[in-house]
Amino acid sequence: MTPLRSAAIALALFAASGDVLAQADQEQMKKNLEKKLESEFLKKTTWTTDFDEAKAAAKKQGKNIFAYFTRSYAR
Amino acid sequence: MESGTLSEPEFAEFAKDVTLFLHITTRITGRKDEDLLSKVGGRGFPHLVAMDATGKLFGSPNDRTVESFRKLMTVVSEYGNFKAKAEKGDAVAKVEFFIRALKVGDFKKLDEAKKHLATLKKVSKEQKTEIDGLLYGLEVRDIVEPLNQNKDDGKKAELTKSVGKKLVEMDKAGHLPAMDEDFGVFYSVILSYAEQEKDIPLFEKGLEALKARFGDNLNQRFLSAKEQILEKMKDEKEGK
Repeated sequence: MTPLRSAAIALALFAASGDVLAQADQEQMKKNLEKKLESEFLKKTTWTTDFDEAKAAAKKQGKNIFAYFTRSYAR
Repeated sequence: MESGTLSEPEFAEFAKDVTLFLHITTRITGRKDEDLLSKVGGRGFPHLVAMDATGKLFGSPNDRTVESFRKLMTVVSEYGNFKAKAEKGDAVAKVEFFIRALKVGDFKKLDEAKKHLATLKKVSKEQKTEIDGLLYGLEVRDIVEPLNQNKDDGKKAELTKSVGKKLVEMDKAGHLPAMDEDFGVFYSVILSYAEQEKDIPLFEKGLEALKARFGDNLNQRFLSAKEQILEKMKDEKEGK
């Protein structure tokens, strides 16, 4: 195998491992979100998590929106 | 906050009068509205903000108590109610709506606000006083803009002097901005000007005004730094 071909294979393997890591990271982010959505405080009142739905609901009910921004990913 | 205020029965009671919207920044690629926090001006977590049903922003509560949440949502409600009445031609509501519009920052420039004020009828004495205070705030923003925009340290002293002089004139005339944010900027710049001009009485007056207005809410690090500057100015005057 020529040195150039070896380098090309190594580069391809490196890129593929990056994709696998990114995919695993995304799966973890989805799990984090699911866990966040199970938080106790969300069970005590009704929260809307889609912005368009919140605006539509507020308009329909003649109310205004109180928004809370948080995160599910770790520091 | 989630296990505190947002879990309290008082919050659940408050929630009956509003639509609660929860936004979670997830770092999930391609997720809808993932960047909404920055779009509403949020820079960190947690971030609380009031909006009307169109998504128009009305700022954040002063603190994380239900009482503050209620106060903020009252501003949003009043804005909407007066706007609806004003659009139907109610002259009194037009003035009240103008006051709310000034408070929530709908008017960015003084001349723009003055033009609108000239179209209003039936402005009571009390409303006039309130409007004046809000317009002084816009005047302060116009005056300090060159200082805020300046990136040349070599021009800072010259700008502080010209801006400071104008603010001192407003102060002497009793033209004090009504909104806390404008009031803070007003006297902070006056303090910088007084320090630069070594004007101890003016520095003391500015500091007292900030203390009287903000009390315990005045940033303690800011207060301590300014008190040290005052002491230093006094020492220098006495030749210590």
